[in-house]
Amino acid sequence: MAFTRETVEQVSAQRSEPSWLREARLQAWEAFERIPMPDSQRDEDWRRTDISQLDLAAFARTRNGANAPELSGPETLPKGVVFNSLERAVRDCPDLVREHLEPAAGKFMALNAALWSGGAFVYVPPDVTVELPLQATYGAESAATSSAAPALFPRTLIVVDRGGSLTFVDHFGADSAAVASTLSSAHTHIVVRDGARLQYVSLQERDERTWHFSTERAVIGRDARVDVVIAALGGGLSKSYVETVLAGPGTEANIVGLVLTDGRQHVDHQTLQEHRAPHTTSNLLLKSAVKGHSQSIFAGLVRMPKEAQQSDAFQEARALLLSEHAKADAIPKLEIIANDVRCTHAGAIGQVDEEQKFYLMSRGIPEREAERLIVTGFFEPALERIPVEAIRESTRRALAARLGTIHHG
Amino acid sequence: MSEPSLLIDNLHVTVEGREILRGVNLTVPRGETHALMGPNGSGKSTLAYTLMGHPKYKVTAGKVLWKGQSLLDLTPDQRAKSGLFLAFQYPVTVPGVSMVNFLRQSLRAVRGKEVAVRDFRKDLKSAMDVLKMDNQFVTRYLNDGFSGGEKKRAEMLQMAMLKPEMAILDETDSGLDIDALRIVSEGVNSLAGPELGVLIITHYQRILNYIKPQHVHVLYRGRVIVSGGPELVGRLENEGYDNIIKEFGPADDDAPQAAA
Repeated sequence: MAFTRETVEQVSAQRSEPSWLREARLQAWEAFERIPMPDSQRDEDWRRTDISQLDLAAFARTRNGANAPELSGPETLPKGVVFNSLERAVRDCPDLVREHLEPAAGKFMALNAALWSGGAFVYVPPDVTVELPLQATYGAESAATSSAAPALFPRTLIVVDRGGSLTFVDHFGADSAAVASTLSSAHTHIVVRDGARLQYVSLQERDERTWHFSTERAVIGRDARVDVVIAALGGGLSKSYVETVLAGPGTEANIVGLVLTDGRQHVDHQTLQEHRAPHTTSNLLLKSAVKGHSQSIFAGLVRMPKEAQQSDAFQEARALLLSEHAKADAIPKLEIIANDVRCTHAGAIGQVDEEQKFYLMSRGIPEREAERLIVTGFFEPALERIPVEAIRESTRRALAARLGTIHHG
Repeated sequence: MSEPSLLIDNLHVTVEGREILRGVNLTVPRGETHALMGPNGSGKSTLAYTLMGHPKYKVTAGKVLWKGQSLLDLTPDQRAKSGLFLAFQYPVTVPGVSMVNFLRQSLRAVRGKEVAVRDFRKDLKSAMDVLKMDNQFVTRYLNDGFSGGEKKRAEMLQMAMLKPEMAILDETDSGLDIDALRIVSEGVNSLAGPELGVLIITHYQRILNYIKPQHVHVLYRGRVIVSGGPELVGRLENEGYDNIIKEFGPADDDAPQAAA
């Protein structure tokens, strides 16, 4: 076994961590040991994503390097804003970190909670606006610590206090020099307090030999607004939980997902729009374009308990199949108890429209380029929902770059 | 008469296994304006799509020479690059792709080189002025949410930008009110001349009040049954298709078989 209880104790001891964190790590480790490996035969969540080929024993935790993200942002930040590694935040603002330690809810989340290091932390004080985007780039590491393949445990904690405003990007990058398959198990926890505003982007461009597991969970306070952009362009197999919890009245959450895959890539998004208060609005749009033998799976749950009266939830999933062997699945699921709510979902899976292609070609545009233009157009409504222009443009560029490799690969 | 630019010889075309064109012969010399008229279902649009290379239309016999070369081996984009243009009867909506981006890409493809932004803007502005189009028009998605008239004007805008040598206008007049028809016709007339041959496909003579063809062909049941001068338009207007068909059309036993 590549990971052991000793590994966890070692990680904690090397950092002279406070006992509360050490305890939390060990609890997570116990949860990890207790929870069986997800099984596509047995676990509803994993029915369409088979990881029986994943051998955790083949992986070893890398040294600190790859788990410590590169943090980037403007040179000076407004007074009171904290932007640092999560490791550092444990020393500098332990109360904030401790308050937001979450019990691990699944096998990989538990593994992350037990073994993470480095990490990213940002705190925005009340009524403070951070104008420019902050970014954590989690690279990969080509050399493992031993003969084992590298395992990465990215962890980001974002806290935007009352009336604050922030744009944040988690970038899960690839190492082109990677020689072995990589395990990447990421967790981002987001707290947006009353009246605050967050634009969050998760850009996943892992190597195609990477197993990527992630949970991105946002808990949103009264009258706050969160825009989440999930772009999944890389990874061999990925399973991502994207969860928004609308905890206070008047809360708004917009989730935009973009998936563009090729080869044997398998991307699985499981989303949750949980309305815990009245007058809340959530709106999800997921667009997948799949090529080769790749596959995009979307399972979206909208939960509206009694407390969610007079709330709106929308969900839309659209997929474009770019080859005959590519697949897409969309499974919407509603749990509606409240009786005075609006809830809609729409979904469609289609192919590139031959009439559109002919029309563009009749104007001199070659077939491949015409197809590329149609795919770009397919993503455009999702891109338009991204409110911050810099983020919209960088997402557009990432998509265009991936589209380029898909069409010339 | 100048060198034939477009020569269609005994063209047979099937759509989904059904023969629609049954031996079309038609010649449009360089720089001339011809009208192809015919009642509904005679095969007018099939001819237009076939000339542009729509994959649904299968040529089973005959040939098409374009500037002395065989047209039928070319892909639709190659046909466009060779100077052929089709104004669609039903322009296709492409959501998420703006008119201006599309036009630039199209122009770059047809010319085979990058187009300077300043020249592009200048050409676009003057073409839009002729067609009385608003500036913001080109920021909209291609044909998305356009009215019937806007779609047809957008087709003319593309034609003006791409400067083809031969334009096939497939029922460009349909769905246009009289003002829009006049604007579109003026657009065509401003481009027509020795550099541009035009084949106007229409059911009605109305557009031919604005765009004057040198020659008129009547298509019926997949064949050109009569070709003549502009006077044929007047005859059609006064007598309708019935008399013309009676005089030049095939015997009844020659009618195409409906698909089983």
